[in-house]
Amino acid sequence: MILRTLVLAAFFPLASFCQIQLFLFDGTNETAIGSGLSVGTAAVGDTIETRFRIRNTGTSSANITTIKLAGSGFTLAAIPTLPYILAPSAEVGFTTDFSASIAASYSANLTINTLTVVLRATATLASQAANVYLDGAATALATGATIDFGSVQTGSSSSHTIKVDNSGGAGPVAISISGSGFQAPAAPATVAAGQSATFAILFQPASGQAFQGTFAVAQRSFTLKGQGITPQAPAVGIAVNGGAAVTSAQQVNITLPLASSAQGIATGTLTLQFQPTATGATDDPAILFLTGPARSASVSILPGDTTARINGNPSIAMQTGTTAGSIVLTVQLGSTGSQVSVPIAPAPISIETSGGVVSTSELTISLTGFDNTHSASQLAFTFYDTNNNKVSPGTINVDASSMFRTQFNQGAYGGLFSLNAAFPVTGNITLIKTAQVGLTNSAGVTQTQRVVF
Amino acid sequence: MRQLCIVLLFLFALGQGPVFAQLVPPRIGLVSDLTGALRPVIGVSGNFLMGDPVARSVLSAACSGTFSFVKTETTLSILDGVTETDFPSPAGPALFSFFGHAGFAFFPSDGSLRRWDGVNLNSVALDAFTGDVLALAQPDANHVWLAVRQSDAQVYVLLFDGISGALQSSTPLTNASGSIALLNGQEFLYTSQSGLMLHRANGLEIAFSAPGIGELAGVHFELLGANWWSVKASGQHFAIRTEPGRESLYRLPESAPSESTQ
Repeated sequence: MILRTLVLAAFFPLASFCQIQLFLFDGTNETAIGSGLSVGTAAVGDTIETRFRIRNTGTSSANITTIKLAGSGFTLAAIPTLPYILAPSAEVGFTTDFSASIAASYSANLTINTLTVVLRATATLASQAANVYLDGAATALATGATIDFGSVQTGSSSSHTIKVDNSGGAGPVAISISGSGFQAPAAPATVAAGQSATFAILFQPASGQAFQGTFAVAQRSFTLKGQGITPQAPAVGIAVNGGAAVTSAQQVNITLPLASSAQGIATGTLTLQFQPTATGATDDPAILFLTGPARSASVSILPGDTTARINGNPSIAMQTGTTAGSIVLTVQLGSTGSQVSVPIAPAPISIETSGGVVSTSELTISLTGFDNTHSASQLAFTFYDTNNNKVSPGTINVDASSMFRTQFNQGAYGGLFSLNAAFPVTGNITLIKTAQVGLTNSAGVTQTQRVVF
Repeated sequence: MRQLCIVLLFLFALGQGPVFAQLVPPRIGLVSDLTGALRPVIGVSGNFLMGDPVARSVLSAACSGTFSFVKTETTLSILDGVTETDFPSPAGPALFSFFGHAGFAFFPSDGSLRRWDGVNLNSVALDAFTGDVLALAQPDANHVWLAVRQSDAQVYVLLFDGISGALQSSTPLTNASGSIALLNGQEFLYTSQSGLMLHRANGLEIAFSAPGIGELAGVHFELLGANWWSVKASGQHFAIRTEPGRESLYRLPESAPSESTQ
């Protein structure tokens, strides 16, 4: 017998209590009210319940001394004990009921301190409205009844079956649903006189909060109510390279396994940080996710997922760079999260390509590779003749520490380098056929394959 | 042989004479990214950095490691070191091949072929042939292979004299399907239901996979550098290393270095 109204209105006049404002409250949202408000239409004998909020929008406390209602058909319910002190930004609620025994239009003056709002309502004959039945019940719902969908997890839904019986009606009745989270895709727009319609109303909460809506049949309204619940996201792990060790200059997969199947929806982020241990390094820009932003990705789960989605995909590829240190991956998903540190161990210099060019008086050796310790120092060049004998003066040792340090300290390329070294030669240069280079860093010595001229 | 002497003028301790050693970042080549921006690619296998764009609105590009062809809507640019030479050209994308400082550009929109000899760009009047040109490669500076899919869906490799345009031979390419990139007259990258494949001259078929690789459609190959190919497909960008014994597929980063630490 209760009807909650969702009527929108304008602002309350701010005559003397300029810091007090009156709002209509639907359980979720507040709507400012002007000087008049229609609370709706009810069948004779039904009740319309209307919820209000008084809010102090000023910067000093307000004293509520009067809340009164004068007029036929309207009564106050659930008002606060007066006087009531409202701190700045604070609010207090109260409700009014409208119920009439005679079909007619009604009005009443609602007064709060010195502020007045005119409330209006209409009562109609009960026989003008179609009957509404819930979930196969034999008794019709009273106007204003609440249809409660209970608590539902985000990503899930619950439903009630509604029958609108207009078999005794004199004309068509309109059906409407309003309110976020509620829908009735199979409901007709109208039910003709002499007909009935049965359909489901679904509640699908998008977030973990209270939802309220209205189901209206002609001029009769019913409250739709449900509570959204955000389930706790399951514990999420971080799996890198399938658990295998990770080294520099790798592209590896990252997945986020869930401890249990997801029950609801949750979102979060996966972030990457790098803590270098290589000499003088502060970062390595090549350590990044290969899709999307370099060092962050969105994470989400849907009901039934056993791994979290990264940028919408089951995994993401990451590049490990050319600098020793630790790659720290952090995932935050809903209220849960985890972190893993992926060590990139210092390693001897890695050579990607090597080549040699001979001119009339010069040999040039080209090497590309990386030194993930950023500590390259000694280079040892050994040249061999056609009989595989070392060419005089034997191994040429060069301290290249300064040159490598200058290259690595740029910070833009990690431990990458491309070395071109030219050697002036006297004598018959064509007799020199191969060369080998030894490169030393803090993790060891690397010998190149024979460079052929 | 012992009388040979490598003079110890290898001067890492610079300042005492001419520079004989240089350290720079390893540059693989140039590539047009998914947005049509031409970017340098720096790095080694498994570790790539995409440089800032050097051109935009690029329809086709290829880099031999020595020089590059870059095609925008109506211009063909040749980048050789710090030198850029621009030529008006037929509309639309183009296909390229290289040998040393020479190369060819084929324009599917009008079926024309042009030869770059390192100095001049000249049209080549090709003998008539039928079919769609899929890819180019060169055995030397003066000849060009065209991979052509003919009406029977068979792909043939046609060898043309790159100066006279005379058709010298036609050889069917076995197993060629989908998109194709010619490494030479017998070896090629292609796409099949198995994904990205490399066909070697000895018949060896190498299938590529990479972290996160998904179903590929609309595959487009470009030579990215010496022994490196760019593969764009389904909004993803990969690099394939084709050096014998080191064949592998990698993802190219979507973000540039200037964005990577943010």
